[in-house]
Amino acid sequence: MRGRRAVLLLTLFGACACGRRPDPLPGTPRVFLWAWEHPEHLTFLDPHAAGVAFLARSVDWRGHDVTSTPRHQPLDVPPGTAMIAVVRLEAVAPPLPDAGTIVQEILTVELLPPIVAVQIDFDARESERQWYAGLLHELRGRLRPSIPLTITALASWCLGDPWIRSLPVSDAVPMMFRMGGAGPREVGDYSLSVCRSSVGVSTDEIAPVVPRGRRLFIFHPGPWTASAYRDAMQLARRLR
Amino acid sequence: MKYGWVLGLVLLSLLVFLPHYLDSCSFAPPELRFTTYHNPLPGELSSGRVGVLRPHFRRRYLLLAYRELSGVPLTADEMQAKQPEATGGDARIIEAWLNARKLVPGAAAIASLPNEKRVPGQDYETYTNCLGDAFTTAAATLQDRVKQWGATSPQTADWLRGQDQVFQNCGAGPAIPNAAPAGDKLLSADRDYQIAAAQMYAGYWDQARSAFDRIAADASSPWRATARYVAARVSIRQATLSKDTPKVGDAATRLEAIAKDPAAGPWQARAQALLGFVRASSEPGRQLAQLGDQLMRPGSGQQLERVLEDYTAIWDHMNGKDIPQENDLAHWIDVFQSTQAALDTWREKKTLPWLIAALRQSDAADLIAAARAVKPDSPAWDSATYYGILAQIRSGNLDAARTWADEAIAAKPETATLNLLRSERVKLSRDWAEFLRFAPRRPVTAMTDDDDLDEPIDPDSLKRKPVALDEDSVGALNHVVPLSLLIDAAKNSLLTANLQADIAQAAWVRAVVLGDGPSARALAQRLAKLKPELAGDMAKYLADQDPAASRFTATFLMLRAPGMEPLVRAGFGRETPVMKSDIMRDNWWLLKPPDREDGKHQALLDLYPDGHFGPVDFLPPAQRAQGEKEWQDLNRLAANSVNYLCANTIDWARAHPQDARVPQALHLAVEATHYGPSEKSSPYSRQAFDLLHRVYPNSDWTKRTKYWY
Repeated sequence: MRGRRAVLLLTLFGACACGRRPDPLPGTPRVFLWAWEHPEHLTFLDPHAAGVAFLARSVDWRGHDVTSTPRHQPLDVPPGTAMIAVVRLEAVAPPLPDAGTIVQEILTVELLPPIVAVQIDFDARESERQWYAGLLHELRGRLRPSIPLTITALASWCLGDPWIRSLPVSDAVPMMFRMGGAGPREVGDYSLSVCRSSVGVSTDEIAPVVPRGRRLFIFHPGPWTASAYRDAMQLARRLR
Repeated sequence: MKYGWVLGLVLLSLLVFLPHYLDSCSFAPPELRFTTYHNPLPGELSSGRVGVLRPHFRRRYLLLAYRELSGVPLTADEMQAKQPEATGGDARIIEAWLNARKLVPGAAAIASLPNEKRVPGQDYETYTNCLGDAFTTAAATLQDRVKQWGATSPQTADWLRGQDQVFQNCGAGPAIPNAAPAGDKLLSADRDYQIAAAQMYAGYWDQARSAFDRIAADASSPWRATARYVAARVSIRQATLSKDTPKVGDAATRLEAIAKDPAAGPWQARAQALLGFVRASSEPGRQLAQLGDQLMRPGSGQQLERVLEDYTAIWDHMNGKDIPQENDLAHWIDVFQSTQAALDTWREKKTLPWLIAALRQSDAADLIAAARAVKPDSPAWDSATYYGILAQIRSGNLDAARTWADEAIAAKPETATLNLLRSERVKLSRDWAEFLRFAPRRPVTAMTDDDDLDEPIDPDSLKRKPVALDEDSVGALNHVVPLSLLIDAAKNSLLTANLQADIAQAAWVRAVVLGDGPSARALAQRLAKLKPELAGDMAKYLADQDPAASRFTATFLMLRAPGMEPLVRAGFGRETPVMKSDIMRDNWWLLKPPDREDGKHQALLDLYPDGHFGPVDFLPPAQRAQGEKEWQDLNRLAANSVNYLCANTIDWARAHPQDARVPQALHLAVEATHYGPSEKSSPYSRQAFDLLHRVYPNSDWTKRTKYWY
């Protein structure tokens, strides 16, 4: 009987583990504002209510010619704000460069003041996926283990496209905006568990239906203002 | 089997918690557009045309258009002007310097050279410290000194040590070289410059500027002219990085002196360019006006790109405030992109840019007459014609507008302009035939939402949809055109076969839902010819003589064909084949009242300012009333496709349990509640599931139906 009970317990544990993922960013706010390459003066932000995922570096390449540009715009936040360093990757022209070179550029964000995670933003085409997966594996291996590695994800990646299942990332944030007319308005059925912790929305588009408990990443076209922040937090309250 | 129940539980848990996968994946499809949104198409600009100018075009294109309209056409050189590649921090330039170092035997290898520093007082803002010029100059100087002193000479080694210290400050430091050993005048001069440069990169602004000033005053230094210019750059750095604003004035004074000094040689032009940057921050309005003057000078060649970049950057920075109204170009852009009146300015200036700006808002007779007089070879013709016809429509001169539009279309303008004219002509349609004649458009761009610029549509996309419908004709077809005319459209030679097929399919669904058997049968026959993949199913539908039976046959087909809907779509439409489920759940239909369209179709908002796209006046009142009634009935009977299909299926299943199609239909009905626009509160999913499992417990379809939704 003891063996049977153990199997049962394991089964239930496994089922729970499948259904509920641990928070990939424990101890951080349930809302993050994406701060892109604008002058951002977010001194009005409540660090208990929201963190900031800021564009820390952009890396693009024309083949093997890699250009790496750090943030060139000011970013002011109240003390204690949870900060995620976002690195935007962009392929201007093929072929794909050496992934190690790109990883080296990404790792420079470790030199910034304390960050709670690194987020990679790359809209990998199908032909770039294998390369991107290799890059993320190398990055995960070289990044400090205490720093969670997350990515932004095209919505289609989260709708059952299994290629991102094996990526060494804690969280994939499906971007539910700028999707054209055919984008899903509901994210409840995103089947991949890595996509089930967070969702990305924009202040200038009708918000999708978001299941409770998801961490929200909110994009705002242009620099954040106090009123845009208030609206975003209102949106977050409505969605959660 | 001892632990069989445990295994079952494991499997159950996996079924509950494991994700289901769909069979394919795609990005959100691009949106077909019939006119551009951000810019004229490249072909138009290169042929000296500017197309129909839209207020939401990017300002750089409005600048170019203003020049063309002002009679200063772009030269071939200027059209090829491209944005210069950024050189600051460019890894290739640094690499070239590191390679140049290898000229010196025994020089310690340097693997990489950090070149970014944190902005003082900022945690996350960085700047590129050493610009590309510094590395290029260092590499050239090293080559020269190797020639003079020899690669293995002590002077060369000392020079390189000093230069390495200079570049240590790019990303770290401070590291200031010591004075050179006495004896070699060139090395001493070089070292003085290296010390000044190291001080600049280390952020010792005052010392650096003084050091550069001393070099500039030293008639014997080969760095004299360079130092004079770089001293001004030190002041700019001090002003921007240390927020020492008065230093902007110091920089401007220094640069003005260089720019006016013929003896400064090549530094004159560089000082002039940097002066533009300085003035942009201190006197943006004045600088904007000066750039506008530069823009209007013909033959600026590759400089044009710099002018465009600077102009738009300053404008964005000014954020719409204090735009210099006395400068015609700046004033015109300000007015064209707003709702400010332009008629008085046009009457005063009588120029083409102001004619177009005024036409957007005014219907004044003299203005319309001036637009009518613009010749087809004028770069203003497209805009003057389109906005002129629009003004005629606004003022109620519909016959004159129609005649003008017909003449303009006959002149065979560029496709984007032609589409806009056709949209005007659709609005002016007097009957069904005119509506059909002008409804089809050739797409010019295929946009995804994150595209920055409109590019010509690629040939492959064009092959898929060489001719499509825009929102105006679709609005009319869906909301006011009756079935009797849709049947006509499905075989009318004014439409291409692909448009006939789309309309036939939508109309067939509509006729089935409305219970209009004769229309549905006529459309089924037509659809079988236009879409061979549906021919077999249409034959089965036609074989059923009993109305109830044929309705279930149609329902059964619709359940298997998630692309069926009673609506015609604009653009690409649904790209997934009609018999396949769409991964983004674009399956079947959910009818909504016609929404007010947002800003995506700005051009159609010109014609339909209330946002309800599509003409209505071309239909006789009786036909329009019939079309509107059918639309209302459609909403009443089948606003939600899933509810409609499920209800039909359950009714038929209860009445005809022996029908061999019923188990599959019930399975598909349950699936539809998952993949279609179902309502969470709807009972249909559960009802279809229960019926299937209760009546057909051994059917394969039952075994495949594990959940209801």
